[in-house]
Amino acid sequence: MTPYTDIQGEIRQYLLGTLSEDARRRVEERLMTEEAFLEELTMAEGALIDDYVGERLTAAERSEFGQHFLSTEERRRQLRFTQALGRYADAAAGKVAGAREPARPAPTMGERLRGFWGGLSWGPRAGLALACVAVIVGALWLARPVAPPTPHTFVALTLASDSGDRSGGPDVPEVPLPLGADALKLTLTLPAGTVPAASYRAEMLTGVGRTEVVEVAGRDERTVTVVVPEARLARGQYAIQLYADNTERRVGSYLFNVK
Amino acid sequence: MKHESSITQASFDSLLAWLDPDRDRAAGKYEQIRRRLIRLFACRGRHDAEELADETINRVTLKATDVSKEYVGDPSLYFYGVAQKVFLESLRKRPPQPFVPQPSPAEAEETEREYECLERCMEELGPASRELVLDYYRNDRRAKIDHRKELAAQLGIAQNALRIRVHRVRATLQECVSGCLGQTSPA
Repeated sequence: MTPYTDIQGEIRQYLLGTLSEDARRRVEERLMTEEAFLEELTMAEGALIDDYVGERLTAAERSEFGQHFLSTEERRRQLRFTQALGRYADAAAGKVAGAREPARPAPTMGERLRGFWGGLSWGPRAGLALACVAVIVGALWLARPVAPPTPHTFVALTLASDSGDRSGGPDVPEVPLPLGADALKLTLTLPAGTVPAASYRAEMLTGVGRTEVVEVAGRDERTVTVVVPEARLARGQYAIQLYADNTERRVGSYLFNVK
Repeated sequence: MKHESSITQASFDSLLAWLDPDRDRAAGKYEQIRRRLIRLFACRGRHDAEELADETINRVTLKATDVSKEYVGDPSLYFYGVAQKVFLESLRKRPPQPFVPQPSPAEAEETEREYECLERCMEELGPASRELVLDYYRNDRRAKIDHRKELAAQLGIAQNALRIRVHRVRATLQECVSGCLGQTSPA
């Protein structure tokens, strides 16, 4: 296949709908007449979706991606597939990292260290040990994950589970942006007859097909409360999927719009 | 569509003959043109891309007997010209609506089924292809671009060659997942 490396940028602009009329016509004429061009375009679509999922698009490109590129069911299917690939690859990387953790250096290094340590007298050993502890504690302190600021103010909204017969109309609650508060606190009413669970997991589906875990802040026999910081919200439609006991048993699906 | 009732076997035969004297090759070119038209309309933001492609082909078919005698050049470009008109008419009749995704429980279920199928299909890949896909798609947020450059360097190939290789493996995976989803779709 001939690599169209010289016009990959132009093809990307074409996919995002940002080319001039003349440039678009040139690209389309090549699409209609050059045998390899269709596959190049298909690859460019895949690369664009990869970059979207990997958060490598600019804000303007993300906007065009959502408004123009995702116009067909086929492309939305491609997006879901790429997201699934990313999830799978990340999960596999996590498993491999865990399997590698217990590995230790070759015995010769350990023997050398033991030999060095064994050669020290009591005083230098104590001093070296204290110095090592101080360095380790200092490094851990500096490397500690910085927790996001705890939200203090909330906009509260109570949601009932979607029955599945969704028309997308005015019944779906709406919240405005900016919220005027640190976070959105959603009280999710459990469907009638639901057996309360010991714990819950909540995932938020965003309007462009991303799935994010959201914090479960509290629960009682009839409701579960989740908190979504304002910084994670953008205009669009959202669904909170609630699962019980860290299983795949979905308790409910809760819809809301951000406008 | 009202055009369909006017399309005759004779006009369809004229179309194929115009595309290629060999009927089998002509059929292949016909399919190729149709795929490209669908992609063209999709790239122009039309969710009804297949419908518009078929409309384009129908109009060309109706005129094929006359056009094929006079037209000089690649027939694909004639189809392109008709597609432009079809597109403009479609804007007047059905202005494009920006897609507003509506996440739903059904879609979430479909996503999970797709993931399960992907797990199965990944097991069927050869080890080299599986490792390639895993390395390419792992989400290293600390160095989003660099890890693919590194991967290409490790394999001793250019980044574009890496992209092509991954694209082919991905196409195989997608076909496998589509087949799996078709087999496991709920009744």
